[in-house]
Amino acid sequence: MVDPEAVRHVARLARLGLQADEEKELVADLLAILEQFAVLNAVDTQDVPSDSVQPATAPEVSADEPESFDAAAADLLALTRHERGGFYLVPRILRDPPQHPGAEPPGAPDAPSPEQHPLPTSDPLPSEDGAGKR
Amino acid sequence: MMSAATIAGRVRAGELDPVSVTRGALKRLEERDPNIHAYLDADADAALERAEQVAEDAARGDDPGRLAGVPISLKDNIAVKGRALTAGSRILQDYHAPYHSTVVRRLLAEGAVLLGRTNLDEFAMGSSTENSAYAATTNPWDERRVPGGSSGGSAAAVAAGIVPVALGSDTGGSIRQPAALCGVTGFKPTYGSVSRHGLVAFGSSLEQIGPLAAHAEDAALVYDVIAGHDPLDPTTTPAERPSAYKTSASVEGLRVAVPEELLDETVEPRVLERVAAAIDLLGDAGAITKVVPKGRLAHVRLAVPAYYLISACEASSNLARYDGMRFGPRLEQDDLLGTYQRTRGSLFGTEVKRRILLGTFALSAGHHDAWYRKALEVRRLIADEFRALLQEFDLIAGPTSPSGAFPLGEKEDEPWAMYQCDALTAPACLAGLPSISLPCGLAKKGPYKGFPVGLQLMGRAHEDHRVLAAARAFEALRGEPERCALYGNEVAS
Amino acid sequence: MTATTYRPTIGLEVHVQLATRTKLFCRCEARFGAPPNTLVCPVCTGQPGTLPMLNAEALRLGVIGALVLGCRVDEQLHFDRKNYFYPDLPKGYQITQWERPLAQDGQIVLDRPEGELRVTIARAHLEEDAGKVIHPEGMDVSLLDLNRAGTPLLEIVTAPELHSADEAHDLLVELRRMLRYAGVSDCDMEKGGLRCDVNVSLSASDDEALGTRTEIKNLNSFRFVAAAIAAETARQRELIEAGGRVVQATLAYDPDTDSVRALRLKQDAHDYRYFPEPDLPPFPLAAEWVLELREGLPESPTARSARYGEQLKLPPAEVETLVADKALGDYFEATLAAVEQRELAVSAHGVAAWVVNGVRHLANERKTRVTELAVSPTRLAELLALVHTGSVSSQAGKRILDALEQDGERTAEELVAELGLQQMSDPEDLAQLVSDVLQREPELVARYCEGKSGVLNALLGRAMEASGGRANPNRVRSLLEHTLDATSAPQD
Repeated sequence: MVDPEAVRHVARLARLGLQADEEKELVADLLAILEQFAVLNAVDTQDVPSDSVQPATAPEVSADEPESFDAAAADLLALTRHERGGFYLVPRILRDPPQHPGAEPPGAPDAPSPEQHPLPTSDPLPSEDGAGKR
Repeated sequence: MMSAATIAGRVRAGELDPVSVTRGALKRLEERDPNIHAYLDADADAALERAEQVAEDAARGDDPGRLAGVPISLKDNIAVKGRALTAGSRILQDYHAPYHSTVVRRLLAEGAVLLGRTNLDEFAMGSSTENSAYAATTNPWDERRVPGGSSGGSAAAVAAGIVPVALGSDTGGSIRQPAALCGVTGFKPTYGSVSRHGLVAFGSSLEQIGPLAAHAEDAALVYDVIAGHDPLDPTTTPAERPSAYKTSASVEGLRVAVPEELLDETVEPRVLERVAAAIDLLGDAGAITKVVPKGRLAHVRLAVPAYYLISACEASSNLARYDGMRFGPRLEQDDLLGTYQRTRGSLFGTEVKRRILLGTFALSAGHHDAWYRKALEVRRLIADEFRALLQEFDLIAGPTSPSGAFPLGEKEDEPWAMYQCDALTAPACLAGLPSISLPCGLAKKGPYKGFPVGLQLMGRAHEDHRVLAAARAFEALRGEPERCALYGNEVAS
Repeated sequence: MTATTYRPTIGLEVHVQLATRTKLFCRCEARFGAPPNTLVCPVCTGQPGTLPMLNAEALRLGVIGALVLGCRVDEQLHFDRKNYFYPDLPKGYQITQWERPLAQDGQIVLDRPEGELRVTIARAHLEEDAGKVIHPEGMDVSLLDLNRAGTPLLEIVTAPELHSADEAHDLLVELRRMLRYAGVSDCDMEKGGLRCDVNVSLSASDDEALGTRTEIKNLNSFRFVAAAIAAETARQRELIEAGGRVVQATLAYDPDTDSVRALRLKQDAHDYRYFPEPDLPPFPLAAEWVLELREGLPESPTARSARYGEQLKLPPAEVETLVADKALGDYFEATLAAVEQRELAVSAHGVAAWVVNGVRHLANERKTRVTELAVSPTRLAELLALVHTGSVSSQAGKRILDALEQDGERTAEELVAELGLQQMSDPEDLAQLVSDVLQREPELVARYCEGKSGVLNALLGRAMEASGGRANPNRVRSLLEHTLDATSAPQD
């Protein structure tokens, strides 16, 4: 169910850098906790909906009118010292390029390409999932 | 110390100077807090300045409000503009909230004086306030014991008689359990009745802000002020909220269920003894109490795993914003991934990391259905059972916590044991119901001998006023609670 | 043995920015081009304790967009969280719709040379945009601007039913036209208002089974979409023909080299840990409200096109021009209405000619939108009235159009008087004009007399020029003919 490899995977997903001893301890904790929680599996929930216990309510929406918050934009930027010329400064992005609508199009003038992965050109690629299964 | 209602009444009548009230609270804080570490910061200058402002308003003839001059302390996960907000975590060290939470706006509009930030388990994750990155709060009844958590600082501040009221937050019991362990009243409102705007999120679908007070009347007064629909929190309901302060305090004719599932063998017998006596007291006063045999709340024993899974999943997402990019410390590494990992790995405490891992795991591909979805389904079963029971009864009564105040460090290395502290309080959060913990005497024997016991009352959703009215009635029946060993008669008198 | 041919199968995921004033979950302006981090608040910068507040207009536009695409709108609105870390994502999760999209099962019909092509819209859902990370050359840090964070997007996903770059291109053009018509989005690609991801897989023509799919991310022009599909199709085909196999991957298209490169292979795939957004409880979308929006939908481009052709009898080229640009079509309609109000007998065709040839060129010259011109449809109608009654020539009318644009205040009539452009109709003035022109152009006259009657147009042009465009061209023409024929007749 949970082994050190799974915990390492989850820690990476959650961007938690763990020391080796800490990781060992957390693996043991998670294992113990999930063992206790496994009691849930015995419950028959075949016909139970998993939707919110809060009932759907009337639309809570607000009008499309610009409105200023009680915080000035400049005050927000002042919350970090990693700031220059109105921008937040973030670590140079070398890998793990964005995969979402906000991503800069590759080749945009202000976006030099992220580190390139060589594109696989031939089969087989032993590291690919499912490569050996076909 | 005077009750909040008395202070506000006398300030409004021009008989009491809010500045002297605040000075009194600050003096008590200075004397007593070094022993209990209820506060992360007193914020004395801001409190005095504010008290002067309230005094000026009153002198000018403006109505200074329902909480005029009342010193109120806030758990340090509630945003006050310009003031430090740490959530008990190093990852928010030196962070200052850029805006006011809605509850703070409401308190200020009624003349309250904000006094200090109280300690908490990091991101409200814990049941002992030992998980704070800054200090462990101790129980005013005995400095070697925990005050409960996660609103341990607020509970201890009230129990030590420093302030009449403090705000806490309750995700699975974090107001009620420390209230029980410290011998004060703690109320968790119906989900959606108090705005969460400005509350550092942990388990979004579960938590509410609520009062901890020496007097049930003050809990009602503060609830009236902070409850209300808020466009800044889409989970607040537009439903009307009848005044809890004005609802007549009586239990006459109320049907009170006492489900056997909440009295099982995991609860300390000496705790049960006090709770049983309290329920008898309700019966003597005209409530129709009835022990409900096992079966009606068949799934309540699963509240802890369901609660922990759901809250951990939500927390794993809610705490993703603490990445050092836009605020908070950043432990820079060569690349982005390294910076994220080092910042979050080093600045979150162990319990927070445990829950983030648990939640991330339970939501991850291949495990989502078995853990997260299953927990949601069990939540639904529990909520439905409570709703059904509350169709027949007006209130559900039982103990707040399986134990009394336990020694510091006792459960620190046993997460599973610590999680059991929420067994009786988590159900109200899973079902979104209003729930209060009331002091009902001290345990007579056993490991918690001489320590306070809490009676828990739960009511129907949106009937917060009824729960609080019943609590006020109970308080009148009970008489003044036993005094706190450390501070004599001043507490709760 | 004949060589196997391969057929690409293509699906599109299109993100369009909804035309709201403010963001999806806070009331910051959703505007392009402001200084960095000035259109931000605690909500869209992910400060602790903040909660999302849904923008009613974004929801309305999303539903309209879904209806325009013929989708079935869900009875409840559900939001989910998509969890991943990136500096431009302030909360560490994106609020989107995963399990229950806003709408499903729509259709876009393309008018293709080989016939009608129906493409299924699998789903359309609302989500918030991320901020923007800039990687300046030579700096060891990246720069983050959160102005765009929280901008409302409608993500539209087609079924994999397209089979060429050209079809994909046509679909995008039609989609953009439909959304612009309904006022859902400006689809302004230069401002990132429409972005596209493309899925491509190849299958042998004699085989039903689809090959492995690759995804090309973030294409921000229609041209790049077509080029990227062509490049990826070629790459996959070469790979297969060389005996290799396509590997599932996320790709980026580089227009400089006209090739794709891998961003991420499947083993690096993210695990987004979707779950229902607890801060936005589901709420019902009233069927009556959706019906109301459906009934209020503006005319579709297809319907407008049919009406212009069949009812108004406009020539096909003008129909196409007017329908391609909704703003131009709206301008035409407004002018037509103003002309009708004045009960002028100017034909729809006449109005269309002025809008297509006059107004559109004016806007092009000035690099502005027709809606931003100083010449409003009402002012144009005033001018058309003058032309129609013969007070000014149509040639002079063009000059007045320019003058109207430069002078936002005065009416066409006032400008005619000021510029002295009243039509010259006095017989004596015209006779003088013609005689002057004939005297100045003996060569043209000679050629006319040699039988080159086409020269008449040149002479007419000279005469119109000399009159500053004011002469009545019909009368000048007949006067020229009359005079010349009289001159040349004795030589026959």
